[in-house]
Amino acid sequence: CGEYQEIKKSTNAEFKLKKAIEYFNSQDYAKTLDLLDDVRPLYRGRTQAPTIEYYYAYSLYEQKRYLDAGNYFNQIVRLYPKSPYVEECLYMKAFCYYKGTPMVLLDQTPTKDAIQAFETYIKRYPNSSRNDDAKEYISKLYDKLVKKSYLNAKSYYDREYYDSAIIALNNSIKEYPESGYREEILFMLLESRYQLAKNSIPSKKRDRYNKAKEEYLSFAEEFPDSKYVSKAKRMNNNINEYLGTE
Amino acid sequence: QDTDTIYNLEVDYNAPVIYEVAALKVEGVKHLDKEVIKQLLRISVGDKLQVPGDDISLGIKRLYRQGLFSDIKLIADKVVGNQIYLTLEVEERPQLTTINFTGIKSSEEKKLIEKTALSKGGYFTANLKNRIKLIVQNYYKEKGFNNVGVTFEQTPDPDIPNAVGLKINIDKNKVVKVRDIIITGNDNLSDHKLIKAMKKTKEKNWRYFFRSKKFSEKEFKNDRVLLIEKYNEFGYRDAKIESYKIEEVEKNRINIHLDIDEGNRYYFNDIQWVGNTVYSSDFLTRVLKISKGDIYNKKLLDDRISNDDDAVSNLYFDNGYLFSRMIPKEIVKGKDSIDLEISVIEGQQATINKVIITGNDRTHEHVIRRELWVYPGDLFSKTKIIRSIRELANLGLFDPEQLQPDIQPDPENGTADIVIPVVEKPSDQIELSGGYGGGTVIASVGLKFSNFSIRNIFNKEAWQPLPTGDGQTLSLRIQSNGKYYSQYSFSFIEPWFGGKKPNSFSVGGYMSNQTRLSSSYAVSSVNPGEDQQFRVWGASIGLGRRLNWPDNYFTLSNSLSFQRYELENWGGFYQFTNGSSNLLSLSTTLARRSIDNPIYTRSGSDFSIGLQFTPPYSLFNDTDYSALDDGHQDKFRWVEFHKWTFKGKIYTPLSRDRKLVLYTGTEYGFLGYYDKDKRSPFEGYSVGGDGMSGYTAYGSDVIGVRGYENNSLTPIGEDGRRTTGNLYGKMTMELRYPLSLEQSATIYVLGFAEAGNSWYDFEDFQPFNMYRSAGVGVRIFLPMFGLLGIDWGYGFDDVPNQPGASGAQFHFILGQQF
Repeated sequence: CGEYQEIKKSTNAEFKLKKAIEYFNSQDYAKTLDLLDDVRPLYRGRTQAPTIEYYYAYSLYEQKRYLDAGNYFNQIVRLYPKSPYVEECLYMKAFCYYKGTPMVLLDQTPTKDAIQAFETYIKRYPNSSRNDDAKEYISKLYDKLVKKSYLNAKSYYDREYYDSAIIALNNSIKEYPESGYREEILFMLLESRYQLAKNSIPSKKRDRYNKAKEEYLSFAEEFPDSKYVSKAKRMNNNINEYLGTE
Repeated sequence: QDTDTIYNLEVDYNAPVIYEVAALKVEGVKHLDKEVIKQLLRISVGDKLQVPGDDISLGIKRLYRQGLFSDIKLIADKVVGNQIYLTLEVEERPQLTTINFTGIKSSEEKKLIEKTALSKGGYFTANLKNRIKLIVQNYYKEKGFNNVGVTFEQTPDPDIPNAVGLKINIDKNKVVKVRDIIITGNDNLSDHKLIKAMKKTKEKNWRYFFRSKKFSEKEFKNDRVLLIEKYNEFGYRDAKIESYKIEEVEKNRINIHLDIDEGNRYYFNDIQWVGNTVYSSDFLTRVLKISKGDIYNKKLLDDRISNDDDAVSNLYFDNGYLFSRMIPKEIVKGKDSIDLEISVIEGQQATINKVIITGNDRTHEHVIRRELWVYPGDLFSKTKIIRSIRELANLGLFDPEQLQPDIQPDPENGTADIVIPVVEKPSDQIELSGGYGGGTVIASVGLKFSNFSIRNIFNKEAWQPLPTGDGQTLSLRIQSNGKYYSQYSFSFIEPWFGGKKPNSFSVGGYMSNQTRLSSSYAVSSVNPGEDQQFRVWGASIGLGRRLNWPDNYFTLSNSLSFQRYELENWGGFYQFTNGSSNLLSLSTTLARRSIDNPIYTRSGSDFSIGLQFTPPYSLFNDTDYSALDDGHQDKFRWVEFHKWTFKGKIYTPLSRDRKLVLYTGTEYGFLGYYDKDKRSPFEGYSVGGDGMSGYTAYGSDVIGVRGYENNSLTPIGEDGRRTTGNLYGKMTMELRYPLSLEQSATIYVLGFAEAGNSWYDFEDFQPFNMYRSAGVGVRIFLPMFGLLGIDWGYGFDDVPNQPGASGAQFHFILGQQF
């Protein structure tokens, strides 16, 4: 500790930089960051600048400060576009963003940023060996967005706000046609339409049951073996009963 | 030399040529790295380069942006065929390594460093000094310092070549203050009214004692606009400042002369609506609340059309007409009349498509979404959006001042997306306090987590640093004086039990144990040294739900609680000294709460009426309690009572900026019995003082009445001993004004008038015989620590047999009490 204080107090930038990299190699990232913070501004525009930023970004990454790390990797790409680190940094930027994405229940703006970062990488390095990984990460991130949109729509359905559920469910399908929750969504759409028809005033019933019928037909066609099939058939029988009587 | 070599390349801006870069030299570099500079230029050997072209100009621009160079030139040395040989000539700037300010406070230095964007490692540019000087002078001009001197000292840095340190000496000189404001030409509005209208420009006068008299050019310019707006409010539509003069009467002291031309006073004449199909013109005029003959007032007109809560345009905005607009046209008629022609563009009705929540990095989305009153598919409604924002503010999880909804209309589809950006604020509270109560020092540790997530206890991802995000409240508290008193309690609230409806579920438990009393409280009937104990423990469980009738601000909550008191040689306070007592009760509370913000409430009200009762054991068993001794076990083994509570609080904003708020509160409580010989020994009221429950947390309700000592207004019972009141009443009026509404600290000052009393029995009840007091105080709300406050109160009425219980009293307040 005493030795570290000596290094920290030193005004010799070169010495500090050397020690910072030593600390990095012995995996003491907090000290690396602390020392690099002191010397970074003094090396702006000099040969060592990209390397310093590179160590800095990796130290942040090792400290699990993913968002900060991602932004520093991005800065290297922007400021030193011809440095040998660029490809790696562009990938690490995306990877850090990916590691930093929040739980599905929270704001997913960082998830969208991460997808975009991977897409930028793939577009720029279409033959990179990292692309298979990148594509897999994109699909994982995409799944988060899909799930978020599904849960949002489902929250209206769960609370029995069927009007709102129909709009939100349709938005979710429109936005993510390949959604892994397609079966659930189509079933909830049917049930929402059905409940809405069942509880409406007589003058609107017929029209709404017809819409529910449409929903049933598309559900049954797409998922004939669905686990919801018996529930769906029961609703369809009731719909037919109503539509047949008038 | 080749014949096709060109040395003086002539650049034709109309016919760019593409060359291949054959060489790129960098010259003039002393300390920087040539390769890095080339990278920043983004031109390298082998590149195809258009001359002239964007790559060159962008590259040079990029280099300049680094601030490293004072001069950059890209020169074509020669051209051979399609090969171009380039040289980049740069002139490095000295690097700036240290910056010191002298002559100012360190807080100002911080602001100035921020404003001038100076940081170590920056570069010394030609304009730097001029720029700093200007920024410094402008910064101080706003603060009323009009002739600030700025000088520089520049010294080379011994450690780093080509680097300098900069010392900036600032001489603030004296503030310029206003002595008199001399207004002429104002026949109809008084000098005072006009000076009051000017916010920051004040003269030396007792009326403006608390206001700054510093003179600032910029503020004076704003204030001249405000002055004319004030005239417009009184119908003087043509008022203008004919001329103004600033006269230096002595050094740093000025007089301001203002000459005003008031013009005519105007009145509203005919009001016409054009383009309205949804609402009739008569109806719109009625809602506008302006009629023919009223004094013309531009501000009132704007407020009535768009700004007020019940403004005319809100009729449309609450009914889906998101795209509607109202454009008033003023037509001067005669010399003092204004005809109004208000064009209404109704547009189509819009429905809500998506409701998008952003910025929640801790709170789960459904916790936010379920509080909203805007739903996909509903007609757009401004009122519902405002209500949603209010509900979110009341959760206490987000910064209420930053809850600004963003409406994204899609006119093509007739829909709108509502984006609700939230900014999370720390909502957990730690209470560490030491207090003096009951003749002893008591320390307490309380933790309150307002955004707990119990189902995420095993989910590591949701720990930050505790399982967070479901909006549940968990409180834990320990109190002790270290020797003979300790208390533990916990409670947990889930506001949306089951997740479908806003039905709250709560559960709590507590235990307190006391083995001895402080000597100052000791009662002669107890032998000190004998084993003494007073133990209370209990638990409760509650369910609450939001009602839709009479309106959806109402809630109904029910709870079941059990409490057990165990006394050993504990005399002088209750009807028995030894034994235990059980209390099983059911309570129900009907409340209506519509306040806008839980921390600094500006408007709204909070009413509640409650009943708590135990089973009426005495009605079913055939015991004659009057025949039993006072201390007989049967009288209190199962306590019985019914208890009625009414509380009402109203918040009224008094000033136009809604900062000055009047709080009016009234509350009553009554503890009744089923059998007059089987009265409850517990659950009465202890009235007077700060209202903090201190260490007599169980056994009685503590009601504060400031200006009197704690518990001093509780009546003496029939037996001559101090006992609790069975009935109390209290009224409070408080004027509040905020000093800070920042997220980091809400601070407000208050002045209060209060009255309260308690009685032993219903027969004694005299609603107008109350102990009165008045005083002042301050409250500080810190996100981590909750509410802290101090009040000074003066009790006007003497308390019989208790000299010193009234008069001047200080009260300390912890936690939300008043």
